[in-house]
Amino acid sequence: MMPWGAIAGAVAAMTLNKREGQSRLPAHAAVMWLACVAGFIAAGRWPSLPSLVGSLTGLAVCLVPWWFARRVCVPLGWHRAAWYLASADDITWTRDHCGAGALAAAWAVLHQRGDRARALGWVRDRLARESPLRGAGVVALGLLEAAQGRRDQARAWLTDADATHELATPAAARRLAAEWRALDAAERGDWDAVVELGRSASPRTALTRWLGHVGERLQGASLERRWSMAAWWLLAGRWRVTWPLMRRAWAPAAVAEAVVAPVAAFRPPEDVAARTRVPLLALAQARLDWVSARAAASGDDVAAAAAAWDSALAHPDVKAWMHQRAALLGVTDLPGARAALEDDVVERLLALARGGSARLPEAAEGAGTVATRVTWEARHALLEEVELACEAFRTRAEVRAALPSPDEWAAWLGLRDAVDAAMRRGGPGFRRLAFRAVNQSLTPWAVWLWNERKERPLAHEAFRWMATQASDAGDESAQALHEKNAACGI
Amino acid sequence: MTGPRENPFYLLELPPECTRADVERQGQKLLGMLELGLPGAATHPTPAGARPRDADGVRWAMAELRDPARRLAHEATAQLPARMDPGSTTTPPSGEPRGPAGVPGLLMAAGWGRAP
Repeated sequence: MMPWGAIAGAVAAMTLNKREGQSRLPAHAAVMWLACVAGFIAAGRWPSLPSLVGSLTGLAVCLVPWWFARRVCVPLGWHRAAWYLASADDITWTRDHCGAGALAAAWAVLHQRGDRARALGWVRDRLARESPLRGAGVVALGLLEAAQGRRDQARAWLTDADATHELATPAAARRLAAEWRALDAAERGDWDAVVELGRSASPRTALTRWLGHVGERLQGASLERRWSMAAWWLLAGRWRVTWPLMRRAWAPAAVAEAVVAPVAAFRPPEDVAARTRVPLLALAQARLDWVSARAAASGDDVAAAAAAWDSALAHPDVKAWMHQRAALLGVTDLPGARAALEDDVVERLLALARGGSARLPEAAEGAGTVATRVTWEARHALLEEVELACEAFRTRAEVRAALPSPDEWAAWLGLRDAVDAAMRRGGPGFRRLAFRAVNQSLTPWAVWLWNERKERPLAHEAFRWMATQASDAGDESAQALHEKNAACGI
Repeated sequence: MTGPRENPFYLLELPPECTRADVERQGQKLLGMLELGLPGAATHPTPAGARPRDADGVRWAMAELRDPARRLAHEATAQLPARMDPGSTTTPPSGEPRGPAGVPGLLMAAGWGRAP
């Protein structure tokens, strides 16, 4: 009988004795297996058929551990086995073996029924011990969020993993992250995102490419494109699941007419002149109420409401009405009362401008006090938010308050998304102003990550992002510095 | 508490030209009604439709209208008639574009997990 236990032990020992994160399980297993079989044959003893079949199965597991992790352990929800097998793979994952294990384990957790808390805790604990965290680990963190039903957070992690440098994120992780995002976007009906993912030059699975074609068809691509869509469908597999969508996209009438609800425009109240005592004030109030009632007030809406108030307050009729009412009410400080009214209006408009995610209002040339105040105070508040958020990173770097790798990534993701959103909302002038704060606070943090903590993938991401921000802000010297830092590698 | 964003005239259901005595009388009446839990006191009309009302809000509104300068500011923003139903002028429809529908359940069906 062959000493399979000894063989397995020797293979495990050799595999564990890996250097620089490299697993050698397949090679070691194959060599050991062949040596043992050859030894037995040389000694004139033939291994029995069951032991030969068993050993061949074991050998197959060792040769393609990722395949077994993905096809067997993940669907069964065996997160530990998925971790160990995936992290031993050398074919699909030529680097970031720990991240591969975490990704497979997180994926397996997604397949578990019932209470996932223990499995989630196990994967998180293992991940927290790994430093630095690379792209596959970031994908794993996204899948862990998805396993807890937090789709938005999962989306943010997986988007980040796909955006990281190719040296930080193995192609397999990038493919899987994109596939999850494409399926998620298709579920939500965000076909623009599906098409973008499918068209990307980055590594993609056949399913992602096929979904991209489906998105194009549903958005009006010509019927000729159906054949390439069919080819990708055949390559993608999972035909039973995807057939209804394939049929929908294949049909000549697949292109749904984009039903766009009419964009609401402000309609002044009827008979405003007859029904109100000060029509201009009533109109300004109606516009403000209209903007307040909108689900997402745009910057233009807020600017228009501010302009309406400015023109109302500057009108002689309104001034006369205010004089008259002030005299009747016994108001001694009319400018003060007028300022109080302005403050109230500005406060309401600022709340609207700051509350949404739309671009901040911009006062037109020669705008009145209300519009100008809303423009500048909204930007000032946004700038303070950015400065405060970035300052926390700088302070942490100064006092050397290190976070575990997953937490450091999470903090970075949160900050980057917040600053990106602020930059989009603030416009070009705000971007230049805010970049100074970002640059001053984040550069010491990223340098600390690189030099002392060896969190190079994360530091590299930060440098790349700051180089882009510097370019957008027109700061050439900062752009050159961050590009040089990013060029140091991962 | 009903927030300070409310206009005191709408909250007290008074016209902007009301007298100081009207404010006190209406305020006390509403406070009494709220204390007794009468259903008509729990909401009030505004140009954007009905809004909730509570005793703290009523007291705040009375205090605001006692100050002539504050009252003048509130008069300027109480020009439109109030109503209980949300009017079309103040509740615009969403302008969100709607494209082809999504495919619910695709992620799980394609092998990315199952419901816990």
